[in-house]
Amino acid sequence: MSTELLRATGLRKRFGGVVAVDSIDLHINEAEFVAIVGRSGSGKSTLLNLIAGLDLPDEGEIRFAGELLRANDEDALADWRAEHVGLVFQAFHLIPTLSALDNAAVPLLPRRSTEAARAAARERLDQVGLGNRVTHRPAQLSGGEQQRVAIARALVGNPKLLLADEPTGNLDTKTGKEILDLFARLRADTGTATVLITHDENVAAAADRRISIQDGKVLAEAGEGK
Amino acid sequence: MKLWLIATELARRPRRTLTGVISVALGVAIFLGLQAYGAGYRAAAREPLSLIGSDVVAQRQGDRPASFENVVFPHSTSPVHVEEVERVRAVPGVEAVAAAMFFWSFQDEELLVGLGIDTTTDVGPNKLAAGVTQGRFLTPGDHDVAVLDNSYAEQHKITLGDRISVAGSPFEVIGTVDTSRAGQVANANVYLPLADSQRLVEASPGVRSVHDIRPGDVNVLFVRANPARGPAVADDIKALLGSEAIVTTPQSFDQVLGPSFVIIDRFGLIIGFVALLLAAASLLRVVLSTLRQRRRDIAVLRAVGWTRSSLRAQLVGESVALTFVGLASGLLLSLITVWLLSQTSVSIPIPWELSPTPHFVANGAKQLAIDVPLRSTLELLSIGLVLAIGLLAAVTAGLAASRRAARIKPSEVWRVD
Ligand SMILES: Nc1ncnc2c1ncn2[C@@H]1O[C@H](COP(=O)(O)OP(=O)(O)OP(=O)(O)O)[C@@H](O)[C@H]1O
Ligand SMILES: [Mg+2]
Repeated sequence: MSTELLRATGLRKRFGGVVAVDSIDLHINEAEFVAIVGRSGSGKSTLLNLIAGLDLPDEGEIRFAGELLRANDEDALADWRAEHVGLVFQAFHLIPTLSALDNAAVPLLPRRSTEAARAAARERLDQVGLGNRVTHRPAQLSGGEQQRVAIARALVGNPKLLLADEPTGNLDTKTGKEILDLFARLRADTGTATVLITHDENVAAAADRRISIQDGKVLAEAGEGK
Repeated sequence: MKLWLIATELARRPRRTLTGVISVALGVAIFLGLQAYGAGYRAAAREPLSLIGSDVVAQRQGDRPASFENVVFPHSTSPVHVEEVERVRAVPGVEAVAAAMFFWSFQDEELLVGLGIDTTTDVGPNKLAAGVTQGRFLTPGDHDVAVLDNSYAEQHKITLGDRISVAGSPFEVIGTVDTSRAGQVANANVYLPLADSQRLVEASPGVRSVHDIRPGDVNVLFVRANPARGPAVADDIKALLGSEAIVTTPQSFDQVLGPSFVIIDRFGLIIGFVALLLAAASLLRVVLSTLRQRRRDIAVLRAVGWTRSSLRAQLVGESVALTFVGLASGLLLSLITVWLLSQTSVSIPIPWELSPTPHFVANGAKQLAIDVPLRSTLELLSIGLVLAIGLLAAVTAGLAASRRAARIKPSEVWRVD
């Protein structure tokens, strides 16, 4: 019996007339690999943003390790993300002025000494195979390398939960495959629960669980208890 | 807050950073430069009087001499009686008064300008003691002795120990002085003990026919006043001496310094503040426009767990660091300005009544002036004010940027991309 890490109940989010997320219940277990699939505009990103606390639900609540997330306290959510959540995006979202090392260290900078933050970042960059690119800036890196830096950044604080929104969407097939392999390997190494939005059915099939979204609702769930 | 991160952000946006730094530097340099220029001029204007150790010179306009024979008063003077001198001494803020006696002596077809000096105080012409070139200066108890102006002695080939005649009385020459060191105020050819000059004046029909001369009278007062009460002292003395009073203060020189000084003196502070204000506005613009460029980066920081206070520390830190570099550059520019100013000098014209010579003698109508180097300095108060304003502007700009940054929502920023 696996331990529950996160549980969302009755999540609902609307933008004007559009109900982007409509009464979604969802849970994520520790070390679990969950894939979210669905057509464009079905509400996947909105759901992920709600889970990450980047957006606030109109209705519903989220519990992490049994504790209710304080939805009205942005700084508490930021602290929570820094401590427990890693985020990876389709567009990498690296800071162009910083080296790969400092980009990976960014989440820790307000909380640790520069040396400690960089040491942790260097460890993660080694882990994603970029130990020889630490001084490069994003513009000097390939797309795949940039996404590796972003993954190193997401893992630098040893989060329990990794949220990735189409992390291979901007990469060619081969590079995308490498990144997905990296996700799999890291999850095996670190035991970080991973929620991955993807269009790739092969990837979804490899997940512990596959949640299919349509019009803001969970259409089907497969693999529970696998 | 990490200093290297602040430095990195500033260095990677060199144009904006430079714009901010230059704006702040120029604002500071204009403000401090104008203050230094004004202060230098004001200090220069005090020079003629401070060279003779006075803050106020008081005299009373008199009638023109009936004829230019024997001993007469220059018409810029008339007797000031003993009790009037006492009243001046009693004016609040007056610290010391040196009485003196100015006179012209026409003898042997020639003019001799004489000044009787009170040797008991270091205020006024007694300061000339520092300019002695030969022999010694007058001291208390001296009588029937004279000190001559250098060039006068040379011109007349008079040497130490010689006897000269002033209005028919003999005086032994005990010293010569370089009068030009006294700032051209109270210039005379011959300096006598006050009592001797009073004796000559009282005996002169030329003076008696025009003036009500009494024993102990003098005709010029050199006053040292408490700086805090300077202008009030001048007003009080003016009131005591009546409508004919001529009271010279450092401010009297301000008017003769020319229009550029008047403008800078009157509007320098306002212009300086406007320059500082523009610099602050430019700083705010730079900081906020940088933020617009960095919305994506800010969104990333928020997403990966930076709190609003971490973000604020970073943004305020950047603004303060940029301002700090600007302030330092501005201070350097100001120092260079001050140095350049100190290489120049101003010519301070001396009013005729402070060194009266008859207009009909050679050079009598010539405008006396002294050249004073512009010793402008940066005042600590101004520097402190600039630093305080700069820091305030920097923190304000940083906080304004932080408030905007706090409203940036990562999910919205990325949707727009
Ligand atoms: N901030 C917003 N303002 C208005 N409408 C929004 C906003 N965010 C999302 N939506 C709408 O909500 C719906 C779900 O959007 P969402 O981005 O979650 O879809 P998605 O499943 O991630 O699509 P894609 O696969 O293209 O990324 C869409 O109709 C979208 O237009
Ligand atoms: Mg999406």
